[in-house]
Amino acid sequence: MPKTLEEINRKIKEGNAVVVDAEEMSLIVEEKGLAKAAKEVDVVTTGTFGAMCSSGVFLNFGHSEEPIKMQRVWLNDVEAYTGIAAVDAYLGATQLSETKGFDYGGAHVIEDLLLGKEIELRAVSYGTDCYPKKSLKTKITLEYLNQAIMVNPRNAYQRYNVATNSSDKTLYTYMGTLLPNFGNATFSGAGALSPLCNDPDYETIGIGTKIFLGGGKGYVIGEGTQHNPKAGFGTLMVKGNLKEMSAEYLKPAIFHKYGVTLYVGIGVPIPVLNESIARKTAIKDADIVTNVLDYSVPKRDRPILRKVTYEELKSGLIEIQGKEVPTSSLSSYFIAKKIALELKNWLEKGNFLISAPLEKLPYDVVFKPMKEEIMRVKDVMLAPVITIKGGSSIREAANLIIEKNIDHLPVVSKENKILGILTSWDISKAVLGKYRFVDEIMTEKVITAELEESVESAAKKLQEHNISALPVVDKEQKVVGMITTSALSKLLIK
Amino acid sequence: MKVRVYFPGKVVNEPVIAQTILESKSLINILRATVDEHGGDMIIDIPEKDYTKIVNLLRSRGASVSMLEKPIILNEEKCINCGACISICPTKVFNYKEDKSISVDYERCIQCGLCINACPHQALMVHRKC
Ligand code: SF4
Ligand code: SF4
Repeated sequence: MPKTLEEINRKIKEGNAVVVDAEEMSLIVEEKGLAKAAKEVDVVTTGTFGAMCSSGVFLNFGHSEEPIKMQRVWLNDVEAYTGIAAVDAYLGATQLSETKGFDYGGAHVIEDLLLGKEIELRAVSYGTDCYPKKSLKTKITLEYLNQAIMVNPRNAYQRYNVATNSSDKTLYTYMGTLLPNFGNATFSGAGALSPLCNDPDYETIGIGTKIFLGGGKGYVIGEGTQHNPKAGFGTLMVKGNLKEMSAEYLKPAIFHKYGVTLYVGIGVPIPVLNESIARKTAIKDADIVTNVLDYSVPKRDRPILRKVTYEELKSGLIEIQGKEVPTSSLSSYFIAKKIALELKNWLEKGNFLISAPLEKLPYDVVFKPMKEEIMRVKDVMLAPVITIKGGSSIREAANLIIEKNIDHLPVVSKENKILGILTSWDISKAVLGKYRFVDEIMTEKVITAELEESVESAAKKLQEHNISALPVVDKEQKVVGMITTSALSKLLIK
Repeated sequence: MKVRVYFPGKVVNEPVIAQTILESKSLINILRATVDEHGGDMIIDIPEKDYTKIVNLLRSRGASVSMLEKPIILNEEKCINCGACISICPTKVFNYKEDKSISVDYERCIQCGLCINACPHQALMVHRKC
């Protein structure tokens, strides 16, 4: 028998609702079966605590004695956006301090506000007849603000990609420090405790859903930016009153050589209205699959190295291309669980009711890439390209280089696949040794460019490896063109 | 046990560790070594029974020696128990406990410093006292 939300809320008010967290729910379903679990359990609580860059606070400072229409405003040297009304501003979590750089940002201001600390407020203006004041400097605390309303455009990713690094350099990313040669892999998200993973079809979560936000109560106000439900990457836009929140569940973080972000604690209660919802809330880490991406590839569509479940990720080791790679979580499962339990506590005490969504989150949207005009390698490469077959003599290669007046000669297989590359310098050097075939003197580890790669990325490769040409290869590693520094510089002058 | 050894600039060029190994006939494992213009800084692992002997030999050659008890400091107020440090550490100092909070096995730390910047919450510090 399905339950109604009214029944569940009545039980909550009476203090006898059965509330369990999402981890417990999967055990209950396993033990008692779906029908019994759906009947017995009224609410399943979820939780997540991780880096949520797309967060910030709307602030209203009140009017100064001589009024000012703020044109630019800073809090502890962190600039907030004030292209709205005179004394309203939006402080973004990732905005960096103009004096402290990576060591302090919007997230730290939010924390300092929560801790009751004094914040230096600075503003400038052009002055108007109604707002004559042109500059202002004062100290404020959270208490003195009329409003401090957290509005986070994108929080609570359903799941997230796993990051690793195949290159030979350490990378510093928003996914943390990635050690070279698959030295580690990092992931984010609470897995089976994650709110949207427990309601993947958005049957109970929608606009108006009351949630736990940063230790206080908040609301879902719609789908988050980059919401991508069909790919299993749904997101939430949320709001709540910062004045009711706690520094325990909103923590600034610094990702080394990347920047500042805010860790946000979110918990969503899911009413168990029927067996179908019970089944979805019984999800386990082993059921949640995500992709391992190579972050050393500087492209939007990074190659997927493998698929992996949260269970594997949480085991501490995963295999990537035959290598055992240690994993690390960036978000805190410990605090995610604490949030789910805290929310359970609120529901059991009867002071938090479940709200029916006014509207469901959209399911029919896609996350499109940016529209931009990119010059691609295929548009500017030199083609056709002169190559030489493996097994040819060095003399033949020398002849070709002189005859065609070129500096680089890719060595290819019968199928035209890249084997190596020769430069005129290699040939001159070969004269000194007793070499006969191109294969003996060519460079085998060839840096190549791809047809669809941007010219910018190819130019970076040339610079990074201090070379002057890149063979261009297609998907099958066949040589189809050449990119050279001299051709690129001509392009710029044109 | 782990010991931290400092070499002032003037003894950096001498094979102090090799001589100490020869004379003490003890197995000394070099876990980490850095040298710059101010001198050398090394973390070594030595058998506990030879501690006094080795320390005396090192000191007689101009090195300063200190015991490493808590090589790193974890600020529990700041730590959120994420686990970002776990996969960074080359010697597996960090682990999850049963309740998914972080345990620190100080014994294993070689003070490489990798975890310091990798912690998003600035909860880790290397202990520097000599
Ligand atoms: S990375 Fe920092 S915050 Fe995370 S568990 Fe390690 S010490 Fe704690
Ligand atoms: S300094 Fe940090 S990363 Fe290095 S060994 Fe010690 S705990 Fe591990």
